Amino acid sequence: METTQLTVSPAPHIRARQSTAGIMWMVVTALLPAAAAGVVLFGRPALIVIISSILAAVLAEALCQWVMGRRITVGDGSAAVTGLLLALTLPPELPWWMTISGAAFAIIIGKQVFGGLGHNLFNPALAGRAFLLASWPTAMMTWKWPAGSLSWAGGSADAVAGATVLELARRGFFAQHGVQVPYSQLFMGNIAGSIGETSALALLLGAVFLLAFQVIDWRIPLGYLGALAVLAVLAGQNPVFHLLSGGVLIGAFFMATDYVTTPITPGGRFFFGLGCGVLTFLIRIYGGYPEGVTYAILLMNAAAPLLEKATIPKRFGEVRANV
Amino acid sequence: MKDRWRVFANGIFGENPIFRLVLGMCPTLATSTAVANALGMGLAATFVLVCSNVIISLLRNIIPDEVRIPCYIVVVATFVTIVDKVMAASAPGLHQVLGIFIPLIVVNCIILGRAEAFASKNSVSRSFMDGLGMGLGFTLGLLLLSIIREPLGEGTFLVAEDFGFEGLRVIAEDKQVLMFILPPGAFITLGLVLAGINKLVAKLSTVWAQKGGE
Amino acid sequence: MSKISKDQLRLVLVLTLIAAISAGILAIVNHLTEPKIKEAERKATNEALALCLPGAGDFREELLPAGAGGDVSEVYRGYFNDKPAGVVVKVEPRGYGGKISMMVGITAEGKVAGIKVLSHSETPGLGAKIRKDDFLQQAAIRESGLGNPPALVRDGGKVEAITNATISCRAVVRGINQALVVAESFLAPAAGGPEASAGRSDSKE
Repeated sequence: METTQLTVSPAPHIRARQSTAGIMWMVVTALLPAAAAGVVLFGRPALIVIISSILAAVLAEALCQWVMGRRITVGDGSAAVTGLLLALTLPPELPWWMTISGAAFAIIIGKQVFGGLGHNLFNPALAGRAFLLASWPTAMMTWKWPAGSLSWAGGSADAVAGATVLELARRGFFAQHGVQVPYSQLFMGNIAGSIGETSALALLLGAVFLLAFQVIDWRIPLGYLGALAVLAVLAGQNPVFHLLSGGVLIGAFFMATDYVTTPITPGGRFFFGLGCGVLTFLIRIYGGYPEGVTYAILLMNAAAPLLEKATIPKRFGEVRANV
Repeated sequence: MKDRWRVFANGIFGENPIFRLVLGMCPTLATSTAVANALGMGLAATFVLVCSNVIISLLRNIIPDEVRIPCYIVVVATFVTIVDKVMAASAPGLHQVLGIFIPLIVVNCIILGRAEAFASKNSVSRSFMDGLGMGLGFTLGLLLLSIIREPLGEGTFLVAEDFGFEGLRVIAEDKQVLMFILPPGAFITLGLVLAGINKLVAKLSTVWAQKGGE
Repeated sequence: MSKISKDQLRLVLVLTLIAAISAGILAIVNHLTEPKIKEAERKATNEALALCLPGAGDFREELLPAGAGGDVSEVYRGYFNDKPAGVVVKVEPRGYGGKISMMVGITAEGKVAGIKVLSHSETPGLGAKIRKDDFLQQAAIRESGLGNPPALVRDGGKVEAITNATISCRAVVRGINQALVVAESFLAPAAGGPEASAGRSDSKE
């Protein structure tokens, strides 16, 4: 049978009125609560990181397209989204020049070198973050607790000041001292971490918005969060803690749902999320870093074409007899 | 004589092993972290390349076709072992840094490739010039990468402890872009330089084509 | 019976000849460079030993004592004018990226005199900083010794770990502790009295 497969779903097709720019600005809107929460929690330095990251990403895109002689498409908002997403995964007090380098790397190496929007293999924001983590690991792991958020630690507040809850859990601090970060604090995001990853409340608000308008596919976050929670339970760990700490929520709803770097088939998307969850858990428990969302999603990005190939749905009326 | 120089220049520009043939990637990525390492690796490979090219060219009418590959390997391995021993005796620090990559010159595809493609079919003097050109082309390629990677990744330039060079500090400590001396930095730097050189070659060839047309 | 043809004989002959000549050349090269390589190795070891135990001029390798930690690989006794000046222990604890090969010098009084990291494969910019004086020369390590073993702050001691390189720092501290255990078994008889140590150095000569 000789047919070129241009579509991956059975007919009939409906033409949607969505445009790239429309989707991008909806993502920005959905990220606003998380960005606002970051600025409220961590103050002016966080705002500086967010602004410099977005500006650098947009400028890098324009510059790169100009040098390469391509049409300049910063108006579609994709560079701004990359800049904003990157900023939300950075420590609040990262020096401005590191932020700018990371945003420029995300756009130039993570996206434009592959041919621009739609051609990149890896999530640009996460590529930028991985670059920063490899280049300046100390600055990228310097954390700060929001003012007045350490009351739960009692007398050992000094010992936890520079660490995220995941690092503390890894060290066995909670078991050793018999203390726990209250769930309400984890949920509100009043903890140390990246600017936009700490507040579960703000992220879920944005996620509900994107799900309601069907900008993102529910299968990916379901697979991601589900796999992580199930593995945590199986390993005898606290699943709620695993879901609320670190970058899982921003990763599951905003990073792993990127159109370009994830499979386009429904089944592929579910397995993509599943893989992200499994890898995140494995890196958290056995890896060298306390958090594994970045590498989990980047690794699954690399596997996306394979998942896509394995999960192409049957064409309407097709009988798979002679395959 | 002009022909000899053409053979020599071919190794450096036209068929540069790293940037045009994209051969010998393993040592290229691994040893271009510092200028001193790149120079050490490049010169070691050049020595082996020149010597093996000359010997194989000399023996080209004696070596039977059926056993030529084992013969080439023995010749190459001999010179590699010589380099390994001499380097261990005279520059132990560099020898330790380059480590496994010196013995691995034996299986460097540039060397066996030149033996098979060039030295076995050409005169001794042409083979000598080919080995020299290819070796220097390899060395220059390594140097180009290391000149980018060392200052950015280590924050220092031209450090060579064996020879008492302290090097220059170009980026303040703890501010250097560590990624450039890590493996991803090797791939990214090589990719960007390759892209730049391809662009340059494309531009030059159109210019030359226009000139030729006049 | 098929006879070996002339051509086949030639294959064997040429390859054998080339291999034989190669072996001959390598034997000569080896003969010329071997002493220099040995000398360079000895010099590097001696420099490291002198750095770890300043004041000692002469070092002799000893057999590992029973009960030495699993990471201990070599032990040297240092002498100054034929008087024992202390012990240098080579240990190779496992760090984050692999073995950290290091030497620890311990004076006759049981104090840590110097530490040198010979080689390691820790992450550049993080664990690789264990080589630096900021870490190795901190008071909590310099003042450690027998009866005052070092430990990281995180493990209840006083040694400040490098930020985000706890595993590497813990490995170094473990190495020092294993070195101290070995040093104890060597220094104990010497502490018994001057005669004991004099007798030992006599028997050496």
